[in-house]
Amino acid sequence: MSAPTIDVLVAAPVLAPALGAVAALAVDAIAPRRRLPAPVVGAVALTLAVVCAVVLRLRAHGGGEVSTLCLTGDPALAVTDAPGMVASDCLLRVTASGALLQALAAAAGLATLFLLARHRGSPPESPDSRAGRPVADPGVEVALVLATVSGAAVVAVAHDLGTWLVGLELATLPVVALAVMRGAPRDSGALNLITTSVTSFAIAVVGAGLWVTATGSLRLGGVASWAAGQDASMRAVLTLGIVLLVASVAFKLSLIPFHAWAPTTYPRAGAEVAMLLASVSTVAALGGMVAVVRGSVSVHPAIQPALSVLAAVSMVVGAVLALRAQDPLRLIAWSGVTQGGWVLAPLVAGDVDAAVGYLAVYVVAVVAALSVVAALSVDGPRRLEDDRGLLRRRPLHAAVLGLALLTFAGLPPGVAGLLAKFVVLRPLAAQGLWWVALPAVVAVVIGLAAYLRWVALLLLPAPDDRTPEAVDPTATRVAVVVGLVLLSVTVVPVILLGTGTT
Amino acid sequence: MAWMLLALPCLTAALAFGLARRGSLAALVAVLGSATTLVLSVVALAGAPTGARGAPFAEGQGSGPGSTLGGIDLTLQLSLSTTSAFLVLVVVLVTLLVQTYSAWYLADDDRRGVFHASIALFAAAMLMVVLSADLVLTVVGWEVMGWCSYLLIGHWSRREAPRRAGHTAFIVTRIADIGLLLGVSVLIAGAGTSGRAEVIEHWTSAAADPGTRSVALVLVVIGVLGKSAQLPFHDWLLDAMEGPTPASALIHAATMVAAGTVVLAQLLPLLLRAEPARALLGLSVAATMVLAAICALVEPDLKRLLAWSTISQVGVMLAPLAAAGTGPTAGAALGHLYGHAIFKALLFLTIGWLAVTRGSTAAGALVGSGRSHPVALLAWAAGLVSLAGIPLVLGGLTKEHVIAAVGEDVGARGLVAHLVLGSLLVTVVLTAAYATRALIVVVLGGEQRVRARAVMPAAVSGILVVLAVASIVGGLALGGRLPDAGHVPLGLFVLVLALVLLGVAVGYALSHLGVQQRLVDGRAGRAVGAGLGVGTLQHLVVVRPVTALARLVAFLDREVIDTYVRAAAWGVLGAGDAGTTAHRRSRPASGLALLGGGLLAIAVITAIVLVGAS
Repeated sequence: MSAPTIDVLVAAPVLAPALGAVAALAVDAIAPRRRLPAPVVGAVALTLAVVCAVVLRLRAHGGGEVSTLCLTGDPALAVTDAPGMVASDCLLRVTASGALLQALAAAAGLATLFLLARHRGSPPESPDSRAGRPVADPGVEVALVLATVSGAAVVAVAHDLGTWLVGLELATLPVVALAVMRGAPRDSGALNLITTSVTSFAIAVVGAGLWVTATGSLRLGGVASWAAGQDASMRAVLTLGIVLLVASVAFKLSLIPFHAWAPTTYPRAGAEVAMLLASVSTVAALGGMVAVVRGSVSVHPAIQPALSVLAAVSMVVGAVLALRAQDPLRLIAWSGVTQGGWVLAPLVAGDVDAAVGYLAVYVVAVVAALSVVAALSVDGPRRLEDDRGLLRRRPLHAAVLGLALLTFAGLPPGVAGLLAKFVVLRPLAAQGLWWVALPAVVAVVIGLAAYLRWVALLLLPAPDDRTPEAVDPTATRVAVVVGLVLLSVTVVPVILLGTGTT
Repeated sequence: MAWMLLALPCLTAALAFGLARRGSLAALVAVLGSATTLVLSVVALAGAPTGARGAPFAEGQGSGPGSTLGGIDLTLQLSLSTTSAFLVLVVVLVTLLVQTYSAWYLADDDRRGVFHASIALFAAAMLMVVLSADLVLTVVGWEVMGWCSYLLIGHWSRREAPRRAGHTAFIVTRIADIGLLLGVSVLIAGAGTSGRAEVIEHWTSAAADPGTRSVALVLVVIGVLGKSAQLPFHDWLLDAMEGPTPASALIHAATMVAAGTVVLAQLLPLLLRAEPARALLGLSVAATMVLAAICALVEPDLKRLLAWSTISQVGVMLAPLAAAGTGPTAGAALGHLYGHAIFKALLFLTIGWLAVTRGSTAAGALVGSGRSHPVALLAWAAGLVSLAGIPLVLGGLTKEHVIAAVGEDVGARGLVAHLVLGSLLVTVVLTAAYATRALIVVVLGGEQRVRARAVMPAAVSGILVVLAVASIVGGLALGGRLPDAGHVPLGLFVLVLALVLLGVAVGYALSHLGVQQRLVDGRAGRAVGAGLGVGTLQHLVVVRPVTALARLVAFLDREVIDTYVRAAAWGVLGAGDAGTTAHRRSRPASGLALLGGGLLAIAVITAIVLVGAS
């Protein structure tokens, strides 16, 4: 066993945010409480991560894989040879879809960073007065965001249980801290998040234990579980382990019934943290789920029903509850639940690219929508009703928000959303998984009602001639940039959805 | 060339519509655009190839973008031949005169720009029908024309009556269009292509089913009867008199009512092989031309008299298509189209001016109005002479060709041909009679009512003079440009002359003896004034059953089907409310409970699957 070497470029999407987090803390220690330096360090690190991830995606294009940090002959990674599968000893293996997840995490983290670095954040929904909110330390906040991104980037390319578990927690715990610091003083919603998160971690650890018991390896992949899948006694253990791992990631994807934290935490933690949860944290969740599903190839028929139920129930129930949400953040929380179901649906059919493509479109749209919400929430939390007639008062914000909502709904001109739904439904239809496809169609219909309710409010004339509300300039700039990205994705969906849509 | 002829009026329409806010500029653009189109169409006529015998529209020489859609070969071609170029010239000439006239007539109208644009588009649609070598393009032109007629008739949409007239015209022609669309669809589907040459070739070949061909042609004829305002679809044209007079001139002269003649002439090889379709057409036109001519005799309103006259004359125009032999059929029909276009445009534009001087189109108001200006008098007289069919003038020449074409070998073609011939001869007498009546009303009588000379702008008098000259000597332009219209035997010439003179005598006698006045004021005049009650009949037979059915469907939809829809919506919203309430009081503990329950649930599902598999 030789000392592992590390290819800096391949590890850059992970390393850059991690080192950036340390650097931000260091900068903050040198020049405490200065608003500017730490966010600049963070922005540079994240931009670097985005660029490297895009380069990696281009290098891994065409089904190839770029790997680094290889531990040749490590006994913990030893596996029985499986037919038709090649075992790789590397800890970080970047595929095209993994690189896309990394790029998304870093880019969404960048958007969140800009929002957090604003002079005046958007106040969270709070039962009592807004006074007494702890003033967050910029360096700490930047470090937390970078840590989350780093965790998400690790999970997206992790192929062993150790890296996977660490990455998943790294993508969760900083968000809890941010929710506490940013959220309402009495009940930030973070308690809900952390109890669920800790329990999930416990479940994940048990699942990991069962996996190692069954396969005798820390490696998380189809090649490792192949032997166990052939053995009747080990098969049950392996399946139970995989089910536990799925359940633990389902919490992060806020799939029903592991969703209870989402509708509580999103509104109470404010738009910035909600954005981090909806984008970076969801990217980490999908990365984790993809790794588990890839690892379960040998017992896929056994866990398929469980995945189907999670996906179908989440899609429908999330859409139904989004229909009755009265404020933007709660609606986006429930929308996140239904979109989580949509992301899981193609994994039921084993189509990873479709899941990643769908998530990519969703993340761009949700970051656009939440930056508009953040831009408008200068004077306190908003209700949906406040957006009535927004198109006349704030046409730019309404346009970005409208495009994002139509993308969620999958309705032209939100063509990217429509194609994403098509990409998801295609493998389901091809494999005859109608019990997932039909609830998906029902969810589309209910989702139309849920999102168009908001779009209609934007378009309707306001009863009184309200003066245009104050908007936050930084959040507006973020919204415009993300809106442009969304527009380019709408025009050229191949960017995110791959060649399957042409 | 053909596409340019089509593009130019379209461009004119677009420009005029863009400038609609600035009325006089739009009028200028419209007139200049029409004039350019006229120049272009003269050039086109000079260079157009002569269509082969039996295919005067030269379908084979079309040009256009071809494509394939749903297994149907869409050729989308326009073709130019001497015949189509001549018809284009007639349409464009009338359009130019009408555009110029409208610039004066609607000078005070705040929506005149839209009117000019509509007229340009209307002309473009008619040109498309004329130039089309493709049935899909024919239908497109046909439909656009229907839509434009709605806009033009309902131009004064602030008043109730024109709005209603526009709706009537649109709906009646649209109902008849169902026939045309179905018929054309059958033709295209059978041939697998929309190119007219290929369609005709397919349906005249031995492989074509005669029954299907007849059904398709009957359907096309129904569409034509609607657009040409023949019985039983004639009443929209009478209501259309509510529209501005220049629009009426255009609709009656060269475009809408004549479109059916053009389409049937284009499909002539098929029509000649579809006896049921010809019989239907023959019965309708035979009844229409006589009835409408009688109505014209007793109609109290002179503008409506012209409308009745149009209905009758379009019947005459369609008569050869319905009843003539294979030889001069298309030539006779298209010839009368040309003649009628010229003199009817003249009559409408003249009465438009007369009505402006007197403020009404009623016969009573117009008594003696013709004497207020020599040009008006000349124009009115020239138009009526041509309408009456005095031999050697344009209208007489084309009418004689029609009668000669139908009369040739009439014995060989059965009952309907005899009926049509009889109706034609009766119509000649009646036409001369009501033309005489119209002349007498406007020129003679009412000495005390003639005021000082009315003002007529130079442009208007120029237009009237051009048209008046054309409707007398326009026959000179015919030679060789339209398909052969046959020749008129001397005996027939004498017979027609005698009949016309008889008609003139009858008209004079009726008027002189006062019978005319009693007829017009009496019950007959009132009945004709009300359009023979066909409107009421249509209301009873079509409108009320349809609205009753619509009410029933609406009831079923609202009370029965919607209940399920609303129940689904209530179900979803109720579930949403229940879920929202349940989550409002959520605590971390409840989240954990859910998590545990969910874990258990998916474990159970997987266990069942495992047990089931083993």
